[in-house]
Amino acid sequence: MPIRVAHAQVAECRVLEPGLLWLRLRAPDVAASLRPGQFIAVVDRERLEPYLPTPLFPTHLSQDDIGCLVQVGERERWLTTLSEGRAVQITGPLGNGFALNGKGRNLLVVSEGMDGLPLLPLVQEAAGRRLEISALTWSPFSRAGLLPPGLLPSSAEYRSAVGTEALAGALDETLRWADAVYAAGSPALYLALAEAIQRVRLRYARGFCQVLVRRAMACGLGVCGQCRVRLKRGSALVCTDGPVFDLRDVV
Amino acid sequence: MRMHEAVKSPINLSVDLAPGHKVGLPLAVPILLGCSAAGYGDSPDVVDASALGAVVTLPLAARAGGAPPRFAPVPGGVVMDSGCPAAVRAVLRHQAERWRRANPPVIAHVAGDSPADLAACAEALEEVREVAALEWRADSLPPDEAASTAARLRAASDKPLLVQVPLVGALAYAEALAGVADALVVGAPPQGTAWSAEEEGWVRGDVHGAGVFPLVLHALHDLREFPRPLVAFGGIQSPEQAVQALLAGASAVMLDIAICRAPELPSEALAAIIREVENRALDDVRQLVGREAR
Repeated sequence: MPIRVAHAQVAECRVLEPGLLWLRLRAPDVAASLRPGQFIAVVDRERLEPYLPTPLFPTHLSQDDIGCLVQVGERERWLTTLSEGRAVQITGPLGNGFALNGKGRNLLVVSEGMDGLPLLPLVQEAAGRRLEISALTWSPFSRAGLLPPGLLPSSAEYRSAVGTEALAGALDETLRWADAVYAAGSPALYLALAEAIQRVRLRYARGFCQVLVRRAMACGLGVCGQCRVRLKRGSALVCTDGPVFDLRDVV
Repeated sequence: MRMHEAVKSPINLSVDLAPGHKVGLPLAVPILLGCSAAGYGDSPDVVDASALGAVVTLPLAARAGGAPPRFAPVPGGVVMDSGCPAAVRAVLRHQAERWRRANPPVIAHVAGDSPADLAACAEALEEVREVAALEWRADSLPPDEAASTAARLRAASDKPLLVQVPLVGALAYAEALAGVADALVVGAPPQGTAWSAEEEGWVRGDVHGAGVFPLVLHALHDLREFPRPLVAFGGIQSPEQAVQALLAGASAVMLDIAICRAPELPSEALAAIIREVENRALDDVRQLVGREAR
């Protein structure tokens, strides 16, 4: 889909808890063409601060609206001040998102804590297609940062793991029956995932596991080179070549 | 992408940024995307390519380095460390075919740790017809060394050479480079340092943002007697500022990462330039250049 630059209207903006914002933007020009794992860049042209557009990963997609649960850091703080009705500029859809493999009925979705929020539209789409979903949320240290089960459709099986040993055990169990895997988290998660796939599966085919790579993005358009990452087969720009990559290219 | 109204304009919008060069560097319109606004020679999809005279690549070098890029947002701008340049031959493998199809022409921004490295990078690009010119930034060297390095680049390449000079002290560089550079880019982004909350560390690098533009205008005024074309680079946020840069003496304007805030900036800048030429009852954009230089 072509990238559009459009005006969006803030339909909802609520701080749900410290560090977590719910933002809903009315933007029919862009919303309908967004795929899970793609992102938008938001900027308020009325002011110079922040100067760079803020990249946001939608968590809830509909025909007219883009809903985002936003983990608020320095770069996202200005979003908490938006009032309903305010107009902002959005650019999107940006990047390459997840592709639901047409052959697979059993999906494993692996999230490292709240970094898995961009997986939510994929889970919603899979639930709409009545696919079997197992959602594994992992935290290396404590249960505090895990993705809450309430964010997932009721049809999804929810599992959680804390610590690297628990992750390996959970992956060994769930990978046996998975037709496709989708993940969002840190390089440590992707390394554990690659090791588990090689341990459990006879074949580790390209396309079996798609992962979302996070890197600070400045332009979102592939022009500034700031999100360049090294992959196994050379370098790539997260904003245009990704953010979703095949795990085999990453680990 | 819609064709810009410039295509239909009776006004001559073309400029030559290397009139003393045997081939020259003719541009259809006096708007460029600078280094860090056009990837490795790709104008982004959201920008009207027909409003661009040329695009400048991210830094290319004979050998790739390992340092990753980093940036830190600051009020009204950003500090960007572009990391180590990409290896020119690797970029050519990926981009040469795209450049062949590209419109507008590509200017390669070359970088290197030594004159020999720079020359090696220039030599690698010499046979690439799609690369219309080279750009090099001179601000890390004193003026006399910058001139000798630019001369080495010239010897390694027949392509027109644009040299980025620092915004502060531009005059000394211009005097040193007058016989070597085909055009000066005014200027190399100023250097700054900012704390990056995401990186949890300092980022040292190029400062881009609205605050840079007055420095560009100041340097353009200082260089009003320079006998070769000047290109305004830095801080241009609005079509009006693009016009101001031409009136202050720039033959063309080079836009930076501001285009990710305002993708319509190239086409609106070009429209504003056309309006200014018309309002002054002129028929050639070159007649606008330096008209209000002090």
